[in-house]
Amino acid sequence: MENNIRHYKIQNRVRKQIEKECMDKIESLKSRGDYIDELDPFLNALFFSIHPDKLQEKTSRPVVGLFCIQAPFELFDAFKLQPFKLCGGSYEAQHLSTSKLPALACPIIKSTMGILNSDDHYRNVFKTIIIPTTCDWVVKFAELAEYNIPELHFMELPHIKENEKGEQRWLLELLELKRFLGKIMGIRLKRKDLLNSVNRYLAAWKYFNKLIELRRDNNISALLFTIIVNAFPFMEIENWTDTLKAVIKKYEMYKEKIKHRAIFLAGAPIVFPNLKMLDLIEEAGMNVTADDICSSERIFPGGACYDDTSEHGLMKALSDRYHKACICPTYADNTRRVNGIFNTLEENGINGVVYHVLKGCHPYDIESISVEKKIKDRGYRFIKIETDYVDEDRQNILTRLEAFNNTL
Amino acid sequence: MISKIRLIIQNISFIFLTYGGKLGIHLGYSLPCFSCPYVGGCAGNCYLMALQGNYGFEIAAADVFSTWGERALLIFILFLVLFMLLSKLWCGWICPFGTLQDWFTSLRRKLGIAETEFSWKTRDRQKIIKYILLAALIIIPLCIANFGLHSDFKMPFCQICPAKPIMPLFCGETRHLSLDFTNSITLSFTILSMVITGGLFVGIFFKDRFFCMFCPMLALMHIFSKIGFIHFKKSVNTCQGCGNCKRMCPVDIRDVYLEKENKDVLTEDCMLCLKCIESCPGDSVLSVKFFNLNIFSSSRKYLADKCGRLHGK
Repeated sequence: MENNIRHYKIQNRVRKQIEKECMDKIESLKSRGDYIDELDPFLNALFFSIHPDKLQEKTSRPVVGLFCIQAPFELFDAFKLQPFKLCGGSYEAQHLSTSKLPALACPIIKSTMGILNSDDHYRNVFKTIIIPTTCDWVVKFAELAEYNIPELHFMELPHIKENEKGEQRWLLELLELKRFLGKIMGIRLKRKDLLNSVNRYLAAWKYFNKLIELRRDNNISALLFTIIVNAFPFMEIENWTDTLKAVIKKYEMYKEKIKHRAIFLAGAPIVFPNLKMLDLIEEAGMNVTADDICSSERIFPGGACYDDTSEHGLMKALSDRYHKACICPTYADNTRRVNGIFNTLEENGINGVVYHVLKGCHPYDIESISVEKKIKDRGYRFIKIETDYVDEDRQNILTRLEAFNNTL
Repeated sequence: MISKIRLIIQNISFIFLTYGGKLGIHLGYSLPCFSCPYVGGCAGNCYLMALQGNYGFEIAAADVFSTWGERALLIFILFLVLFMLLSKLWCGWICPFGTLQDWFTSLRRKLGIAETEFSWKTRDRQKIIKYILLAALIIIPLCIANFGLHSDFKMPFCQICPAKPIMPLFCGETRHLSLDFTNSITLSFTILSMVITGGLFVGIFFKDRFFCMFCPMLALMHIFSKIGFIHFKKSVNTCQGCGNCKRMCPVDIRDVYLEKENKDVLTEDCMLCLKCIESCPGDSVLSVKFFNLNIFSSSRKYLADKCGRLHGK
């Protein structure tokens, strides 16, 4: 009994701290000179990232927890499900999970588990949780978070993309996901619904592409760009697209360009409210005009364009879009990722790469070695920043980033 | 945009090549596409007919340096010139038989029926068939002219080509949809032709450009593809490997997607329909050029605009 009371007290306190952390970040973003009111819906949606129950209330759709970006959003939309990206960015939430995890655990996992533990009710909110097996942390998440396996749905990710076996295995995973979602929703997927969903996301990609063009032209800061993209998995897609259209319209009229030096940001995800890296890059006099981060530009690596409008044809298009087009370091041969970086650097006259590694996020850390070599061999400047969600290393990172800026 | 232009050109070409002869137009015997000579009133003949007939390999060795030989050479040179000018655009943009297959594909898509898939291995095995057909349509006429093979083996490919019974239907001619009981050779050929035609109807309904996978014209073109003025290039260092090119290809070419070194990606089965370029999200990753002049390049913006238009349809 006494233990329970203590548990609820801690839970309550941390929940308030998480809310405060988010609200503080929202307020600081709103107080920026380049903030526009059209961005409000994105910030409101980001507040749902710590309240899955409120997201369910708002969208009136069953909520599906989701790790990473390999499970097709289009499929959830076609089943009238609301995705909820589980990858957490709250530092305060980690207080509820640190004791249950190894010391050098991935901060995203720590935060996610903390958010889910911040309210006992949250477990019942999710209709299911989808886990593509991108890294060991997400694979072991169920065990660490003490979830019953039947509540979850794993998608075994083939780590080799460029062969027939990998291609077919991932398609089978998608077909199995479709069957699973149909089972839990008690409905059969209609081809037309899937087609409409794919088209809705293609339309969203069109405007996302325009947003990237604005970013390349230094019309929008990395921080504001990130909140737009971070909000993507917490909004209904047409709502997200319409809000984005309004933002683009406003920024296109906004003549003042960001004067900071353009850089490319690579590496581990940056998740609201922990936008520390972006804050520090800006403070050091640089602006991220391009990135290859899965919580940012890579959330849309390209449109799932199709020719075959049958259900199987659409599933194939989704399978390719979420597997072949993904350049997550979890894949065995990832030379195409570096191609993309070089291409963006050359096209946009960027000559510096900041590589962000979250302590405990092994895939990005492992790949940083080969990426660093290739980038330096081509004559570009490169700096690797290893950090987590704590604030204590801010000054140290800032000094390194300022020195890096001077070398550009 | 490009796909719409292609569709318009395909349909105009179909009408022109099928009915143009009725207006007195004839483009000769050297066309690098399936403009079937059995269509009464066609505007030009498929070169394969000349190649296996009196203006090709059915010339006896003694007549090679006669006027027959000169004519055969002239027709071949004209074929080469036409091919060099447009390369495999003939297949993807002009060939009436290719257009007919695309109509079947449109019908299948409207019905929401999935396209049949072949495994990578099967697809590799199929590639040899078009070369076997090409070899047969050269060797058999040579044997007729020089080694006394029965003359009913004449035009061996045309006798089994599914275009022969199908394309004349557009002019109301049904006579090629019948069995020829003259002798066992003609009967065998016509039975085989009917079987192939029946199989083709099933094939082209369930698989995009099914016949093109076996087309000997593509094999012939591929032999000369290096001298064509049209080049299909890939910027191998900027491709991000999204796989759109592979998925959108009607004949399942995967070399464009997998290629990491060679910049020239005009492969043997490619018919330059440009669907891969249209669907590539990388700026200038894929491009088709006339000599060094860029005709069409992939562009993220082009694709995004195209995708955006799909919403609401």
